Amino acid sequence: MTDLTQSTQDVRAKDMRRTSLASSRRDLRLVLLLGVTVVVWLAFHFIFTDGFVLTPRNLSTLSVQMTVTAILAMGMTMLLIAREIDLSAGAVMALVMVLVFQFQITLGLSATSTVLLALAAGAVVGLLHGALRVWLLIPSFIITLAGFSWLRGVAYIIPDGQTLAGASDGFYRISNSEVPPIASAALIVLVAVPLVGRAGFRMLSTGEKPTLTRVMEVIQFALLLAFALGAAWAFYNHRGLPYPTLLLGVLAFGLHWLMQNTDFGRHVYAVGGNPEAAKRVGINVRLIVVLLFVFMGILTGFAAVVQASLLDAAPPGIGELLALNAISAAIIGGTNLFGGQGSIPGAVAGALLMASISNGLSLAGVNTFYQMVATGLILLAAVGVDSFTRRHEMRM
Amino acid sequence: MIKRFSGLNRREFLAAGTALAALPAIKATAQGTGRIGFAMETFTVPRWRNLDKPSFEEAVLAAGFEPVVVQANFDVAQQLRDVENLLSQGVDALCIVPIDSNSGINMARRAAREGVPVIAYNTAIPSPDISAFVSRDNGNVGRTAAQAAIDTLGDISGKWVICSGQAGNAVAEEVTAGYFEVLQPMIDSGAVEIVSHEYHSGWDPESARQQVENALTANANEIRGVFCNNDGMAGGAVAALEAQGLAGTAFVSGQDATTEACRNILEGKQNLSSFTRFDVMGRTAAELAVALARGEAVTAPMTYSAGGEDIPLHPVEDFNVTRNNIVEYLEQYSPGYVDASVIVAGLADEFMLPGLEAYR
Amino acid sequence: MTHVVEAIGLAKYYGAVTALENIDFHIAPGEVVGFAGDNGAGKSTLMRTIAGDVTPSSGELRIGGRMDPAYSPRRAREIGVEMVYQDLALCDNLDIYENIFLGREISRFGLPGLKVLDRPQMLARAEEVLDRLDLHLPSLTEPVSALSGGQRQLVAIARAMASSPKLVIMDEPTAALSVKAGRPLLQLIRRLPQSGASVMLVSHRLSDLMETTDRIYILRRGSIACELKTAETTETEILHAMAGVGEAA
Repeated sequence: MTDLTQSTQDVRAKDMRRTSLASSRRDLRLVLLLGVTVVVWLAFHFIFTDGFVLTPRNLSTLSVQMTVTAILAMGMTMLLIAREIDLSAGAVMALVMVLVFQFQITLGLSATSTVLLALAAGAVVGLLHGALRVWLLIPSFIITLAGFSWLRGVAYIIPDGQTLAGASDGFYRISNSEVPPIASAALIVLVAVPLVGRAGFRMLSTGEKPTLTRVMEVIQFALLLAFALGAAWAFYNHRGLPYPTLLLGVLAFGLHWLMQNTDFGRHVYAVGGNPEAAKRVGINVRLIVVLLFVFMGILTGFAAVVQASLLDAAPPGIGELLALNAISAAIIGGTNLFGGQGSIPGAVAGALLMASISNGLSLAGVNTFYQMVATGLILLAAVGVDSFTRRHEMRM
Repeated sequence: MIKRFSGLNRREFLAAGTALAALPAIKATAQGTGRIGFAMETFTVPRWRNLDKPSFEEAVLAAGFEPVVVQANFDVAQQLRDVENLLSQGVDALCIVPIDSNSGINMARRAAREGVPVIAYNTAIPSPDISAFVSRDNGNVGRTAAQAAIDTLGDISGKWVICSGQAGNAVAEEVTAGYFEVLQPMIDSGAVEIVSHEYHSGWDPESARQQVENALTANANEIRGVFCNNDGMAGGAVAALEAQGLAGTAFVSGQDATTEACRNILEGKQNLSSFTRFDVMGRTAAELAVALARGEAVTAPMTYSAGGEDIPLHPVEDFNVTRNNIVEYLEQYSPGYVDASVIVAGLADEFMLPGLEAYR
Repeated sequence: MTHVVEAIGLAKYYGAVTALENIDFHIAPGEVVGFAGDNGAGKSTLMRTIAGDVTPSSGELRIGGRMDPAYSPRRAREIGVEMVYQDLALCDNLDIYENIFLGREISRFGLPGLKVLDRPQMLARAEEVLDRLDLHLPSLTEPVSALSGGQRQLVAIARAMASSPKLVIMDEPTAALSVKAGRPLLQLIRRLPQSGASVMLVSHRLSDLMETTDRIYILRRGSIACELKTAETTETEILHAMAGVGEAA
């Protein structure tokens, strides 16, 4: 029995450092995705343009260009994990933007009130979708497909088809200001030190680990360090950290923490993995689904605020394909369309890759058609790689 | 009482035969229904509801005919049903805003078979059965925008950006071609360089904003101006320019003279927006329809090439709304098409013009 | 001595259909009690009644000597009645230790409705449970999808045992396993009372019942036909009892 105790003790110590092979494989996928993004940057910077991509100005710009899709991709990921979907994201965003300008211009509300009401509006739509889903048991595909239409219609009706423009200065500043350069650098360092530190700690820790895990730990440490330094350099040298990017960062950290470190997060994965099982162990599946739709609504509200402030206008027809782009970003980032798999960092990385390609092609003066082709091909490639590795695993 | 034809002589017989043969034609033109049909694609967008439809109806009524206007909510199948219903109601002439140009061919053919003359409205129908096409000359919109840049700036040499609308859309393509007609000699000589030209799916303003933003990045902000096919995208361009402090310095053109554009024009961030007199368009179509219903011949000042067919085009006036004429524009078209009070709400005093105080 | 489960005159009617009638049985602490019966005999309904999923039409159901008028699946788990389903109710995409504590995650702090996971604790306690049951799994941080059928069963049982229940109801535990794979599982079931849990074992496989149980109740047409002491009976006798052979009118 002593031997047994010895080995179980070793097992315990080893396990507590979370060296799961499966999670290392997920990390590998994310690292590869980021690697592809860096290659894209390098290619566009050195080959296809005269060195415009890896400049502080363009990287700052890029970080804002990806924000709206990334915010929606995070909410979409959470829904997709739980086997739900939201096709109406673009229409909801347009509607909230229209409401924002009603608040600003017609009602003359302050920027703060406008933002809070915008989030509330998004939450209400989310609540409606969630309620229809859990009480009438209509599949979310259909509910949100309907929303794609009727919410868009309402977005047109409210301003009578017109695009209102010219919000208050306070509201305009939301998407068009930055955290001052020194403060930006300090903020990034503050956030990076514990993350990089923890990654370094893990890398240096001893004990039995599969080779893959070892390799991943080194790469992750290096990548985190590189990205932190790169971000600090870019934002410091060009006006500072843009507010939309800061918002994205806060939301990403918060949602990732929620999904990884709370029982709610585990329950979302459980609902996606085996909804029957989740119900049997006493998880309130209906409540979770409703909450996920409400989160999506609130996130769409954030996206609407950012987009409305960026354009200083509320075109009712905006964002026709936004939901599909958000879904593509989520899937490129590793989310499984059929549920149970996905992550917040993956969604953000997917959005970053898509925005990087769009940004690079635009800088190189290439037509939008090629961007559409590129996005579609990347999506196929990402899913193809996933399928291939999964089949390879099953054969083993 | 039965009339016996054996009693007719040859001349009377010929007369009767001719009358019988002419019956269908007479039936079509002087049926006596006095109805003129209009199959629209939508009523919801303000332009159709407030300009095209009322002006059409007014002009038809003034001529002593009865207008019958229906809309299909962008549904092609519905529009086909609308046209069939109008034909069964026995309209004397038919105007159509085809949701889809090619399905318009079929609708025109059905009408022609019943002898009902068809007018294509706003969007072309590439069919020989069309008696008239009433629309703006999109090329003119593009040409006048480019010309306005030259007139305003004098020397337009330098780098320019073009934001075009949905690829494949006739308006986007023709307006863009209009820019190039005026700019081509300068492009060839190297004076003007188009550093970025993209077509935007759905005419998306954010997509246009990113294009201009990236163009500014790639050209160290040395952009002289942006030509945009519509005001939505012009708004995006203005936002990108503003972020670099260039709004008001760089030239920006748009189309539709929307609320957003009018505001940007007043604030000096957008130079012009092309506006087509949709009320005149409705009136013109009505007058043509009435003439055709009466069997009169109509001649068009120009032809338009649509899908291999040359159809007779009656162009409607378009003009550029600028800071110089915006007050008159608003007098005529607010609150029907745009709401001037919304445009001037919160506008800084320095941008106000005499004549706009009334809207506050 | 208070029985873990005591049923007195339980009955369940669905309209004109009698699912259960005259159900009298008990399970004492430390016992493994089997329930046999043909399809449609009422095994499933009985299991679900004890687990709180089905409310009896009449009769008494005492858990730990007490009756609970608001008995439900949640109440059942709260008072120490756990069920291991035939399909195991595991989430393939979650790790082993996450499955073990699914719905009952361990946390150090948090607000009502939102708990911050204490993963080291969960791992340690999962280890403990497996130790107690003398089970070995390669690594608790691997997803359940990587396990064999037999190993998945162990995880499901570990989940049931994690809360130190008084009663574990098992629904056809070896149904999806080969005879060889089922061996260790049966040995485990036999050992469960050592960890303080009585077992209610419902199974088709008479050999399983013979090997693991102390007593066996035979269900026939919704009622308990007879009660047999495992040590003193044979598979043949069980079969006859299930079919109603040799019964006096």
